[in-house]
This record gives sequence, C-alpha cells and structure tokens, in this order.
Amino acid sequence: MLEKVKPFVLLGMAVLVACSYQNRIKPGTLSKEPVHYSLVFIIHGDGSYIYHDIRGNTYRADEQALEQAHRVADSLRDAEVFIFHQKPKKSFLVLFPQKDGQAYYYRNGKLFIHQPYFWTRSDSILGFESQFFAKHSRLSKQGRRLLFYYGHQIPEFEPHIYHRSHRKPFSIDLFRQGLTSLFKKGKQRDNNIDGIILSTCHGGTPAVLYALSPLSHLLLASPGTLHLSHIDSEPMISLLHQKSNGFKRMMHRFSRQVFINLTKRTETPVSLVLYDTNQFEFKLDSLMTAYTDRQKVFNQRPVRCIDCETDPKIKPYLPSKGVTVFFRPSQFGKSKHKKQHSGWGCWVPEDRSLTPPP
Amino acid sequence: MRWLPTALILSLALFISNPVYSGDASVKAEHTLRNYLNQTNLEVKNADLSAEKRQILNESLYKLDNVMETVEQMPGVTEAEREHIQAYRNSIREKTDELNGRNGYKAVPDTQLDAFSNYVVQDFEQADSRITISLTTVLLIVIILLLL
Repeated sequence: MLEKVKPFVLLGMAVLVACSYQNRIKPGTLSKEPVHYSLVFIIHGDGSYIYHDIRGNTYRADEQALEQAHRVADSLRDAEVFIFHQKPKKSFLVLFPQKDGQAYYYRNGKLFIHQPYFWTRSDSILGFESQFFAKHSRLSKQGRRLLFYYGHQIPEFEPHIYHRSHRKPFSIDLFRQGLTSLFKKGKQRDNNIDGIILSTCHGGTPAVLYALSPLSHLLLASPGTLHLSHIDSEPMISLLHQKSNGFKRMMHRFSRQVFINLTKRTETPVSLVLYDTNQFEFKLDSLMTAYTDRQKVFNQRPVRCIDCETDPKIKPYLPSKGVTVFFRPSQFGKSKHKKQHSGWGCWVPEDRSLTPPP
Repeated sequence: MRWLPTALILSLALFISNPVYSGDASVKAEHTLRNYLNQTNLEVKNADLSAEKRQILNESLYKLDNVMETVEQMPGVTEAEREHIQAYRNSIREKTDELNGRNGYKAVPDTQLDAFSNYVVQDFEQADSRITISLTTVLLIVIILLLL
C-alpha cells in the first residue's frame, strides 16, 4: 500500500517545495561599496511581444530587454539595479493564481535578491515595486537615478486595457503616479529622476512630455513607431564607466548609440528624441493647450500619430530648443522621402490628412 | 449524451471569459499572424529569382488581405473592429502598390526585394497598440488564414 502511494507523496512534496519558492536573499553579503547610480528597469511582458530578426529568428521583446538588463546589472560595479518583469497572469490548475512578476535587485554587479510577486495586486500602480525600491535602495544623495520602461505605447488620453491577461487599466497619468510613488524615497527635488528612457511607440507626444516632465528633465523617447527590438540598454555600461563626460552628455551619447543600433537592424522608420525639458518647460503649457484643443476639434477617436509639424495649428507651439532629434526615415513606404522630424508626435483620426482643416 | 454540446459551449464560454486564457489566446493569434509574415520573408530570401520573390510577396499579401476582407464582412464584427481591420488592409494595399509600382509608387527594385520583405515583417512588429481587435475576430482571421 505504502509503495503505491509513494509516487504521489513524492509528487506532492515536489509541488510543495516548488510553491514555497521564496526570495533568494544572501544576508550579510551586501557590499559596502558606494552606489553612484540607481537604474530601475520596468519590463512589461503581458502582451503581444513576439518579433523576428532579419534572419527569421523569433524573439520575445520583454525577454530580450530582460537579458540586457541583467547584463547591465552584472557589469556596473558602482550601481544598484532594480529589474521588474511584469509577465502574463498564470495559475496552477486554473484555480490557484501564481506570482506573475519577477523582481531582481543587484548591487555592485551582484544579484542579491530575486523575488517573485503579484504585480497587479497592489491598490496603487507600481505599489509592490515602490515598496521594494524603498526597502532596498542604498543610493547616495548625490547619486543618479535612471528609469527604463519597456512596453507597448502607453495610452495617453484615458486609462484603458493595456495588459492582455490582467484587466487593470493603464494610462500615462497612472504611469506618472506610479513613478512618483516609486521614486519618492530620498526625494531631494521635484525632478527626482535624472533620466527616463521610454522604449515604446509614440512616447514623444506633448501629452507624454507634459505628464513626465515634472519627474525628469531628461527623457529619451520615440515620437513615432518603435520596433519591438526596443532601445538597447547595454551601451549604458561603457558610458556610465566614463565618469568625466557629465550626465547630460552621457545621455546624448547613449541616445546616439541606441539610435545607430536600431537603424542597423530595421527598415522601418527610426525616430528617437532626447528631450531636455529644462529648456522648454515654460512652453509646455501652451503646447499642451493647443494639443488638447486640437483633439476637441477633431471630435473623433485618434488612431494615428503623425509628425506634429504637419499640423499648422500646433506647429507654432512646438519647442525646438532642448529637443535633440535622431531620425532615419523608413526605407520603404509613403514616408521614405521624409527628410526630418520635428521630434514631436501628434495623434489624429485615421481619415485625417497630414494637414487637418482649420 | 445530449448534454455534450451544451457542456462544450459552456466550457468554451468559460475559457474565453477567463482573462488568463483569452489574453493568452489573443496573443497567440497575433503571433500566428506575425509568424505567417515571417514565413513569407524566409521564402522570399530563399527564392533565387527576383520574379519569384515578387510573386511570393504578392501572393502572401493578397491572401492576408482576402482573409481580412472576409472577416470584415462577417456579422458581429463591431464598427471599431472594422476600423482596425480597414487600417490593416490599407497598410497591406500600400505595400502591394509599392511592390508593383502602382498608385504613385515606383516599383521596388529587384535588388531591394529582400529588404522590402524585412520591412513588411517589421512594420507589423512595432511597440504600439495597433491590434485592438477582439479575440474572436483575431481567431477568425487566423483560422481562415490557416485553412486557405
């Protein structure tokens, strides 16, 4: 009898061990070395993220971004790196929900914590991530904070379904709230993040800049579409090692490098813009007013994002100082002859021509 | 056994209403579409002659457009979904126009057909939220695509 039930007992024990998998913390081994940089990666994976390279190999965008983030974290000796991977909902035998997020904490190039978690169970956006960051971050007061976000375009007009398996709505406003909460620890100033890298489509619109500029003066984003192979994070390794160049200059060199990388592997348009909102903050209110007024005039659901410069009603309000544009037109298609980009994307209805009526 | 169809329908309804599975199924359906275009890309690259490459691309895009048209005309497809399918179809048509030099486009030169094929794949693999078609509709597209 005992022999007969033995396999089931063993199986049950194996399930229990697997389910009791907890954080891998190595207490007492945390380094006392200084931490000059805090890098936070939020990688969204609850969606359609498959893409192919030109040889036909299949990749998952979130997993590629995760691999690179791990390599960055492994290589930076004077930094701490937080990685949050938000994956699709999963459950055991349909009834038992399993943790669908993975949090990693690296310090001085070593992984100290790997903790699975439920990433949508908090009452607030980025609730778990904020607590995790507040608990573990050891960044010095003079240290720099960088945020990388990888995902699909964040809805900018109103919260709607963004995740595929979770039903919590998401929007650029909710994202801003989440980041405010995430980086509130050790807050020294209003612009609490030194640089935001937004690896999504259409991150360079007036509404996104308006929402995120109170958090950071430097934002790298794409006003157009962005291929799912995403903005590389690895160039950050060598650039953060070269300390003498200054942070702004480092971000500029990073932007240029990731732009070149993207142009090498795609035929579709590549537009990356480094926004220095310090230089046009005073113009953002009027730009935002013109942009929202325009949306009211259209009175239709916006479904296409165009270069704002083509809209004569918006063009006069577009800041150019503080907007460094890296642009390569599409190699094919209607826009292949487009020579330059204003650095600003504006949403319009599908049937709207490039020059909307007054 | 009379209860069997009812049970099957109920199970399917439960399956689709469960966000875990419906989300997963719609993602898989979208991936099937992307894999379809990737397969075309590989066939184009393996073809020796330019005429053959052009034909493969034309046939593949034509088939995809036909499938979208079939689904678009089906009852139960919402107005918003029709808009999205139309946007897809416009994008497909622009590509066939460019491939063949119609409607103001210069035909893609023979030497650039491989690059154009990459472009077709990549244009459907952007980090936007372009696909907001319901699970049922995407599944229909995939089923018809696989059957043709």
